[in-house]
Amino acid sequence: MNKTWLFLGTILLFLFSCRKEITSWDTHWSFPVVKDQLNLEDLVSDSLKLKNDTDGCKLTFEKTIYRVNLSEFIKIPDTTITSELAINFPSLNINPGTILSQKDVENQLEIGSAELKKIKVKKGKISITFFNPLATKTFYTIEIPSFTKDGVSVKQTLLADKGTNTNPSVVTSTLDLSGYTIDLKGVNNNTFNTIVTNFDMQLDPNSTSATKVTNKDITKMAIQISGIQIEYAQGFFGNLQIESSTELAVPVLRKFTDGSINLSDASVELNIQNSCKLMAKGKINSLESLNSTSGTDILFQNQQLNYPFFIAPAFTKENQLIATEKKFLFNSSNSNLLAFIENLGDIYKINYGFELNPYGNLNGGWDEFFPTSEIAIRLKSIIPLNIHVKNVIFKDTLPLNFSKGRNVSSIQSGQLKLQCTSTFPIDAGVVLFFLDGSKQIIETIHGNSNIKGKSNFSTTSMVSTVYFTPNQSFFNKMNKIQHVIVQTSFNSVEKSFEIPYNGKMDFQLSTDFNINTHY
Amino acid sequence: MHKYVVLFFLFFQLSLLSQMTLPTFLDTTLLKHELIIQGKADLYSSTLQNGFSNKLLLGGTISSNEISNQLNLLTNNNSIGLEANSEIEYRNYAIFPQKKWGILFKTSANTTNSIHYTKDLFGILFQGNYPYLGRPLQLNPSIVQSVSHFKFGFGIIHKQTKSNVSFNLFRLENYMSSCLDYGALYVNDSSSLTLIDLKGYSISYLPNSKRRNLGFGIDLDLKIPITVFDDRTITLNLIAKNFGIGILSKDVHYYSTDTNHIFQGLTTNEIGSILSNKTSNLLDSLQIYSSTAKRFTPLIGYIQFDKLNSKDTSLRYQSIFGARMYPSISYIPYVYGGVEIKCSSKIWLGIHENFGITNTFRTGVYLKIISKHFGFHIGSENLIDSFRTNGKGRSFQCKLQWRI
Repeated sequence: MNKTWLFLGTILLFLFSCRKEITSWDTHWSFPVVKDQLNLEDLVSDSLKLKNDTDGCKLTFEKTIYRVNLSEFIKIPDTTITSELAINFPSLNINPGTILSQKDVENQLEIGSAELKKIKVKKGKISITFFNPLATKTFYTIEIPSFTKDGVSVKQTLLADKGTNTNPSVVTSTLDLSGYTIDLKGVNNNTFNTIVTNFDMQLDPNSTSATKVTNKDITKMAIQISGIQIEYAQGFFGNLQIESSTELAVPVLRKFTDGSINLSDASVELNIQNSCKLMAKGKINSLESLNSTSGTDILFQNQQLNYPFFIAPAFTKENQLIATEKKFLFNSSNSNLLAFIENLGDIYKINYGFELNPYGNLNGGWDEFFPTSEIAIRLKSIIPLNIHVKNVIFKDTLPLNFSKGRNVSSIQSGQLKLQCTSTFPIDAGVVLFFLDGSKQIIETIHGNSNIKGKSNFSTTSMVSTVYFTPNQSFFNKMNKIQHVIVQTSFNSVEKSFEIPYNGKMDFQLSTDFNINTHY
Repeated sequence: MHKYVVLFFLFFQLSLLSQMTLPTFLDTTLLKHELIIQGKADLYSSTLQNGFSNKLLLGGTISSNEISNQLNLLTNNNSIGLEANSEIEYRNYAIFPQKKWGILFKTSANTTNSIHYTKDLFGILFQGNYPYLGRPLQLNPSIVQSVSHFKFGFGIIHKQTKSNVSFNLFRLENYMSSCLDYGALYVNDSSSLTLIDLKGYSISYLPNSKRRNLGFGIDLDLKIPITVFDDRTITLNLIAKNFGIGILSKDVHYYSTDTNHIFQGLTTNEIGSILSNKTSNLLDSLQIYSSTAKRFTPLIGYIQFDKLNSKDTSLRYQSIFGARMYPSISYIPYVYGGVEIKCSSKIWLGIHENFGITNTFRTGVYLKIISKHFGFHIGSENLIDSFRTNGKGRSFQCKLQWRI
């Protein structure tokens, strides 16, 4: 019987035992992957535009490269005005309901060299606090005739509980100043930066007995002005100096790593606009183009640079603030503009200085500030698309990861096929560099030919087919790949050729791969 | 996509499959304890040959010739399936001496998988689309159904007839139900144009999910005596197993699509989105909608009846017959009929012809060795194909009993 069980057990083991090798088979796939069109409109952005003139297609670049609002210089700092009130006698018994006053007190604001006469507040607040040392309830009334809204001045009455010199009772009130006008000309309208206050205190009229007050019972008042944003200001704003520099980065140009371009022409307009109602004096100190890849730094050369210029105050016309301007026009005949642009700098540095009210208060304190009061530098360049390029290398790095997820398939061999139809007058050669996690190149694949550009004499688009065929080593290293650099080298077909406005390149990328599936 | 090929042919199956067709004896012996260990593995295919499925399941390199040869055998509607389970059941008849019934506990691991696929779908999965450039491919009807679960059951059993009922808790290990109602794919000769037309859905809950879903169900095993020819009584064994409801509430992905596309390639902007891992944009652009929603789903249970013979009969030959059906999946009911031979007082041999599952006849055989305290059963529902490289499926079952 035991032998029977042993025999049957052996059969069972034989039947149900199984070994698991790797299952694998090969498949062959071919699919379109990318289809798109490149044309000049793809270059258009907020600041970069195409212009199709009768004399050819032009690329225009327009951008405000510097802007400073006058509000950055005219500021009312957070300020606390304090005031104290005490009797002049050593000691007095004061009857209930008695009123003590301080009238037309002028308080000075510390706001630098500016001499402001009037402010309209866009946003801000005021906090009023009384410290009552008297041994009776007291009504405190503060009126600030300098602060008005719709013709009504700020007036607050607060009831403070009785207190002592060492432990005065405190009452506080806060008021939103948005929309208020602040007159800073003082009681007699002949000064500036001055706030006028009136202050009353009335001992509790309902008290049944007189209150003993000494000259050491000092009532204090604090007015805290904070968070003031100015909507309008008038006065003399002082002598303001701005010395600064601005960097304009053009990251896409960083991807051009080698080669040269030749432009037929170009022009740049630098427009300095003054929308402040005060005289301005300025100077453009320097203008540089820095190509961070090659390290080439080209200084812009023109006779107008580094010389001071004046810009008249802005003016008001039909309730509109009209800015005044100072324009500089640079071209290939008055500067080294072509070399400056052909440097393909990815960083442009402009160094400048401005002085407002350079000669002091010439207009009797009638400088005016509006929300739009600013100094701005606008750059506008026009580049005709008549460009000759030679071995210009454009590199773009993209993330690429083949090792995501559970890997049950691997590419054994194959190729990418790029079909292009182009009307651009530029040849392009494409090389793909594959990088590992530490950004080291581990594989390189060259296209077997160039994408052909259209020549002067051709009436039809140029059609090209470029194959990218990886070798076996590439497929063995695929799991290590983390990035791909697409390097394109551009060369003009003709020495001089205008890029047409309707130039375009249609392209389609398809795959043809043998894939081994395994698990 | 290739990982789904693996799931497709390794785990998912045809609508089919046998549960145990090792007919038991009508046993009215009063016992105290009984332990039953049983297992089965049944691979079934309408057209896929064993040599091919062996490599899919057990490993090996599948050559292009093998794929071509297999492809020539396929029809426009093919199916393959795999069912496997193992179960341990303990029966205690002595726990309530005064009662007519005892109790049972059982636990089992089960996987039921089926897949219907077209010849073109097989072709593209095993050859790629290159051989089919310039030719439209029909991908429907394609259905994938797969459930794997552990079962824990408790029930009561009648001491004399061994009829029993148990209530079961299921822990679902994976679940997938996918259906492609319509699917067509065309890539032109130059691989510059792809047409895709798809309508279908997929609900999946895969083994790598961190959380498990549960199910509840019932098993029935009834012995029903029936009088035939006025004077003879035969006993039918009616079995309903794995009936229940799965509650899918965790890590369940639902995708549906009803769309057609002309695809010539992604734009450079779309490529940029993909490289930035914005894959949901890709699904959206392909109009594949995804959601996660709580769902109730029927488990894949079956109903089976068999004729029960008596081991104490003096007859050397007795008839056997039975039938099985899976109500919840598209499955041709399975019927079998044959003869059981009493070789000795302890050894029986059964041979039967069965039909169903995918509309083909198969020959089954089993051997039973029964002693007073032990029983050993072994068999196959598809004996001939099981040992042939060009057969279509394999089936093995065995059962051990110990009883006092």
